[in-house]
Amino acid sequence: MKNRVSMRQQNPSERIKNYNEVALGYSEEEAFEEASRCLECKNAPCMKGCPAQVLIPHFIKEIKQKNLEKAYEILKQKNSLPAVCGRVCPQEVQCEEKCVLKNKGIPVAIGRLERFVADYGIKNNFDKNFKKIEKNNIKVAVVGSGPSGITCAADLALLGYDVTLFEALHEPGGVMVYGIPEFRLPKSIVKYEIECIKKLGVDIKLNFLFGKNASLKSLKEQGYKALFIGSGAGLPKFMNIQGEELNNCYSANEFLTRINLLKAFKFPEFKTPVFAGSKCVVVGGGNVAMDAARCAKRLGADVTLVYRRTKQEMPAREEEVEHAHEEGVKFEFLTNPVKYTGDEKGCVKKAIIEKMKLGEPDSSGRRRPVNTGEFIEIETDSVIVAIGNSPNPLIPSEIPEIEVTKWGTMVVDENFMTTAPGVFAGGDIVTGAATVIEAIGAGKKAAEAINKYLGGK
Amino acid sequence: MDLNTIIDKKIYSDGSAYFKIYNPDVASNCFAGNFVILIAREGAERIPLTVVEYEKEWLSILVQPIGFSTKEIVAFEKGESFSGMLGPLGKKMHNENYGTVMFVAGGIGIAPVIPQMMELKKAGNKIILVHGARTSNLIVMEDLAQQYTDEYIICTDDGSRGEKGIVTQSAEKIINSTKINHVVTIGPLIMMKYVALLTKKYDIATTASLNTIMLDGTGMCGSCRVEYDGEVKFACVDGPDMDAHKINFDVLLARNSRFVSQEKEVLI
Repeated sequence: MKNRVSMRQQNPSERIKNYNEVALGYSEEEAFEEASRCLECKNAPCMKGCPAQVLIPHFIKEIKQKNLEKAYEILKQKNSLPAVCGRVCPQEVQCEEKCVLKNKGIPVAIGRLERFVADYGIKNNFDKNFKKIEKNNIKVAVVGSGPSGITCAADLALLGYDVTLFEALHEPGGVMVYGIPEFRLPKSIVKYEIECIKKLGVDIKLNFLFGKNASLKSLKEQGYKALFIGSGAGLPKFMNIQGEELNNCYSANEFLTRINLLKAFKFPEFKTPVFAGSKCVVVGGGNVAMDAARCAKRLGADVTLVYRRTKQEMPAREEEVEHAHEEGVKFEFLTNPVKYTGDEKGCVKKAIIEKMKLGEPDSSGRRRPVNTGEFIEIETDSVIVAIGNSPNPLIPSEIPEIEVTKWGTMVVDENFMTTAPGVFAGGDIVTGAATVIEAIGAGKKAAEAINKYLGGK
Repeated sequence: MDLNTIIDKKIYSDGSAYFKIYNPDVASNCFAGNFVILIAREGAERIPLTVVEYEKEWLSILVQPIGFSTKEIVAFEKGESFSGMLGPLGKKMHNENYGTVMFVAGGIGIAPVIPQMMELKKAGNKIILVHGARTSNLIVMEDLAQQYTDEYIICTDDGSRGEKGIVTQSAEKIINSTKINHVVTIGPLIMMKYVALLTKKYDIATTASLNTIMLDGTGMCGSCRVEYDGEVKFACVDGPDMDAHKINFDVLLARNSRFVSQEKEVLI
């Protein structure tokens, strides 16, 4: 069996000095060679692992036949964000996990092939010939332009609905623009895929806050027949330990929003500042923690990541951990901050960290970290807390008809409908913090449910 | 008219700019206590500003040119449009008939005080305003403010206008002579801190309006967090009006100065 074709990357010592993309993608030859590994299984187990229901063996077959325009068309049939998914989906636990080649060795690099086809399609402007969509003149509103909202809006537009997408920030894209850094997901890619959605007829209204600028009632009065809410993650969690209020102690959301959405890495050309200092401590073990650590590295800091369990329990993708490691991020496993101390100006200067050890498994099945009573101290100029978010509180607080759980997530039925009739929800606001692809999957299923609810086929 | 077009502009004696801005979606949903995020132009900072007046199609704000971005905003002229505005944000003020309400405003803190006085006056309260600043030219918007006050005391640190002294001295005199049921204070953090200490001494419920450093303003980033009654709260969604006796002002004072050195860099 042939080996998986590896993907070229920017050299770590170079890339920590820039924000350009780390993974460089396949060339045509590399893509053809990798595609040739696909066995084209009739029952396509890979597809069962894809929340966006992409016709995986079909598009790979077209790559084999060097029919890239057709491959792109197949991809886009099911997924409006292929260039995004090809980069940020955790394929190793989804499509590639189900690939039969996995049992024999290494699965087909489905994600890399998806990225290749999507990039090729963008470069060659395969989207120029949009099929004429027959409009049904039924108005649907979508709140939030992150992955779930965009997917739901695009799928409904393809079915003929008249879709308005409301976004609170000044740029569309949600977590894809404020959260995920440029070097992992170039904003030009996100912009392109959103432009395509506009060409489907989706009207995007920026700086618009559902619940404040419009109520459920006023949207109904304006003729909207259904509403999808994909308002995403909200308030960042803190550990509530002493010193978290100190200056230069950020939530990962704030740190990443400054850098990604507000372009603080180009300060002072862009006017929003950020400060990581010469030493930075990042707390957490997820993808967001890796993004924060790698951004801090690029700002010139010596970065230490503290995580209370071991490498095996880390929720971050292996690839992200590997990239962070290559870039010189230091990992302190089995450590947990207990306190931060600061200087006379109120700036954080030191992290006091307790060593942990693994005990019995907890409800997540992972072994629970337990205290050892042994402490270490790390000098630092900044701290980034990346331990998760609560769901956004704003819409539930303004729209009491929508019931929420005790965690603040919206309650939905099996058809993604909230307790308010005709109001659907999906993505992080329903599940709590999860991945881009899970949000895409939810947006997709919700679009189907909305179509059914409105009497469509 | 384009959204966020400046319908009117006026420069006050302290250099602050008053803008009347066209935006029906925001204006028609505003209430006292709300704020907006203003984006002057593409690539600019997102700046939170409390609303002063709100009508069906327009709202007004007062901007003091203290940093790069506020200076950039103040340079906009009538007829020009800002790039974006998000709002109304934050909780509406709590509106009830307390009896007698004393407002303590410092500097441009007078601007957000105006709609609160208007609403509380409408609700039947007697309104006393203590309006202070360092010196006379920093006392602004008296024309608007006096419409809603039953008693209006101006004080300056140097005595160039009104009573000589700081607001807490004037406020304490009033507390000693009049039954005050509620206090609202808006202005510099250090002033609100001392007003809170004063009213705590007399056990009078007090609201302060916080102007913290914000990014999205919608409860996503956590930049605006405050220590409140020993817990973490967020000024953008839990405020901006909060119980002044529960706010840790010392932490806020430090947090609001956290980008001072970068600010200098852009100004050079």
